[in-house]
Amino acid sequence: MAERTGPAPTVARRSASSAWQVRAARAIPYAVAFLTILGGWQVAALLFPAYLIPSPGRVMLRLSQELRREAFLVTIGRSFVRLSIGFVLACLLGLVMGLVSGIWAFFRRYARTLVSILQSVPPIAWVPLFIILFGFGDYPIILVIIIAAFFPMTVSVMNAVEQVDVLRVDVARLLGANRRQLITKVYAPEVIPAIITGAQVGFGNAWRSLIAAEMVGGVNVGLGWFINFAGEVADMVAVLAGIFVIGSCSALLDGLILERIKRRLLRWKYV
Amino acid sequence: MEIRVNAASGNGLGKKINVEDLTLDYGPLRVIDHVGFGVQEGEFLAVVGPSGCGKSTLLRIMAGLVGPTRGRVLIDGVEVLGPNPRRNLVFQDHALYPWRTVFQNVALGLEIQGQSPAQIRKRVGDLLAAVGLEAFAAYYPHQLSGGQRQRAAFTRVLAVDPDVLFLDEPFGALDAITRLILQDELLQLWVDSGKTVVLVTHDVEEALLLADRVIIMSPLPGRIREILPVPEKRPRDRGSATLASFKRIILGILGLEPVIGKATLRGRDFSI
Amino acid sequence: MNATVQRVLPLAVGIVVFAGVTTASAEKIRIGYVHVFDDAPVVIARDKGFFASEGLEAEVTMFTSGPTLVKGLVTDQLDAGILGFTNAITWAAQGADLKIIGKVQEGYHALIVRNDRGIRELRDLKGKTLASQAAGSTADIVLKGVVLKSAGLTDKDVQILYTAPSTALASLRAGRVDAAFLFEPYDSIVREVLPVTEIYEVGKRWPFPCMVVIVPGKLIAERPAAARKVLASLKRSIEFMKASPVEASRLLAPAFMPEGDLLAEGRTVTPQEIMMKSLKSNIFDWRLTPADLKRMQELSAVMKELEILKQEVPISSVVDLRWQNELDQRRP
Repeated sequence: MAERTGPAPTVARRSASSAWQVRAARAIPYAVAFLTILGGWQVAALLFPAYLIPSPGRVMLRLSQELRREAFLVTIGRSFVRLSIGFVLACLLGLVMGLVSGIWAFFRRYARTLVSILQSVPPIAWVPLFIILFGFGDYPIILVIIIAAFFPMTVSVMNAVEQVDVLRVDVARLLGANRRQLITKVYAPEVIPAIITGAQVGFGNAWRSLIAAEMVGGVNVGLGWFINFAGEVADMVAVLAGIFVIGSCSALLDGLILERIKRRLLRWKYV
Repeated sequence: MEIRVNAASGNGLGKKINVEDLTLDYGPLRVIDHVGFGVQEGEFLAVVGPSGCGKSTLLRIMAGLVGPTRGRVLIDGVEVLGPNPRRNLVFQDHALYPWRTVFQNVALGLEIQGQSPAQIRKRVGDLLAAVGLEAFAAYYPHQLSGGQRQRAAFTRVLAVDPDVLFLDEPFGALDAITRLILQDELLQLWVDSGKTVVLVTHDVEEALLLADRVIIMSPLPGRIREILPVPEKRPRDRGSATLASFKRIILGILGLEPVIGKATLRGRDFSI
Repeated sequence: MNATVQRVLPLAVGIVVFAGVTTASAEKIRIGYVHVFDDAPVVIARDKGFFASEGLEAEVTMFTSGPTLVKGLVTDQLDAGILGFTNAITWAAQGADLKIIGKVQEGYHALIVRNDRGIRELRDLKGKTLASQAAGSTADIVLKGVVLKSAGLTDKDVQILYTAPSTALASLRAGRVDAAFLFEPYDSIVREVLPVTEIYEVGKRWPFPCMVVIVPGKLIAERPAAARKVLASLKRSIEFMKASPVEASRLLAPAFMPEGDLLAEGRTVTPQEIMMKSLKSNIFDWRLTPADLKRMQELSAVMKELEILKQEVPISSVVDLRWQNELDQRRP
């Protein structure tokens, strides 16, 4: 029979509770930031008349009502459809342009010049022109999103390709890789971190230009349109509800989806 | 076997590799100036010299990564026009792909060749076991030590079974002890496989430990000063007096040691 | 007191008071108007100096839409606005203190269709595309709640696209939309350059007060005389436009057709011709009649139907006709 001296080890239990504590500690800055904004909002609501700045409480109540209305869900859904199509196309376009630029010197100079000229025009300035060229509806919005989101991707990928370690390319050449294999086995994996940063920056642009383009005109559904219309008819509660939806969706999409994808693709770094 | 030694463009009776009057210019700068020599099949050749003598560039030309301004390289009688897995190169920087595991890195050449996953699994498994890395197969390069990474880089090259190995200061980035260990492993590998090896190094002792012959290059522009045989039988003792005097001869040729006397090697006199 | 001071003092006081009165006679006022032909009287009042002649130093600001303008009124950045009356109602319903004190124009909006789209009457608009003005504006409310409703259509049956009138025009020309809901001068312009037909005009079928003068309660409380002066200036402006349309056209052309001559089918149309046509189409009047008030109440009900208002707003609570009545009584 073994003798026990001293208390039984509690190491296992301690590490379980600290995992929780660590998660809580990490969440605190986010919570405080959120509360700061909420607090500022409440103060503003107290200072201004209710028809100009309604209180957070009223807005949340209205939001819960709107979320039960089909029309509202349809409108948000439409915005998301536009965003998805535009953003995905932007990423693909940016990726292709960036990769080609990395390999082909002429195209790199061409793409750089194109980017720097077009980049100076704010994406939503294109909306009236696109409405006339392509008609009303989703197309102008999607085009604006593509323009806004593909630049960061192209530049990011282009830089990454230029900075590819030549040695790694040589290794692949020595192992007999042809041009296609160089792209798929060396250049593409090399640029994945750049793709992700490009995507994250581009996502912000895409989201912002989506809402702005929807507000400028040419559509009759969408989150941007919803906010615009509400503003026109003195419905400030709806305006703020819409803004809240924008803020939370953006944070959720970036944090939940993009950040997760980043962690998966860059698994090897975080091992 | 008599090996004639010439100071300038040396012509050997090279059967495996023939370097013919190689010159490389980077614009107005001449990096390699009329270099010529031969390498026998199964020979272990070392190239030493200070930095800037073009020895790394010479290796890259021989491996087909860079084309010369003038001259050519023949391997098995065929002119080298581009890289080829059968004449592979190991760099000083391991250049392992950080997004691939050790296993995947070693498998790279086999993937490029289009081998089946089953074939690859078997071959890579055997190779890793041979160098003692099988436990690290699923690890990523950043989790390995310097010596393990360089072993993995070697294994990656060996996976495609080259008959000529070019080594560009392969142990230069490693600590002294690891270097010694890997030198021994390299020697064993060469003895077991009979491959033709051309090793570029700034470490004269390393060259003397491993090589059959040592080419000594001087810089600006890169030229061959001497080609010296190392007739010492293997296994060689790092601390032996013979190797020490060889070293003095080489350093003397490079003008790096104060002259304290004379040495005779195969009927030739050298200052040491 | 010293005898000299006794004589000088009243004189000094008199000078000060006189100086005070003369400098105080130019009253500062911030006026906003919407950059549409419906608000032409404001442009005339500014350019012909009618504001000044009523003793107003007017800072006139142009806005692209009524809903944008009214935000200036509720945030104390404007003292008076000339815009569509529904804007007063939507904000008053939320608790803002706004009053409609007079009228400027009666609604004129034409539903113009391209001849090649097979639309002969309102009912044919089903499934078609229609370019209209700012969502939530008076025109938009009338379009949905009166025009489409009269044909049994809702905004789900017609694809309405909200955009600036010039874009609407360009889109109609380019064939991107089948129809457009236009006011002047776009209505007259489009008739010159494109084969189109007017299938409905609101002013003819359902007259309603469109552009009105809206002031914040603060102005009424602090300087009620200013309200009367604004109305008086606009009354003079409207009378001038009726009496001298040619000169009025000349003044309005640079404001509403800055692009100059219109090229249409091989002939040139001058801006002044367009302005004359626009003047003829529109009814400018400064009096809100009982019929007008009735219409406004009807539209309030319409806004409730369209879910723009939670409940109807009694028009009497938003209208204050004191100064209009004053002006009316002073009429020669």
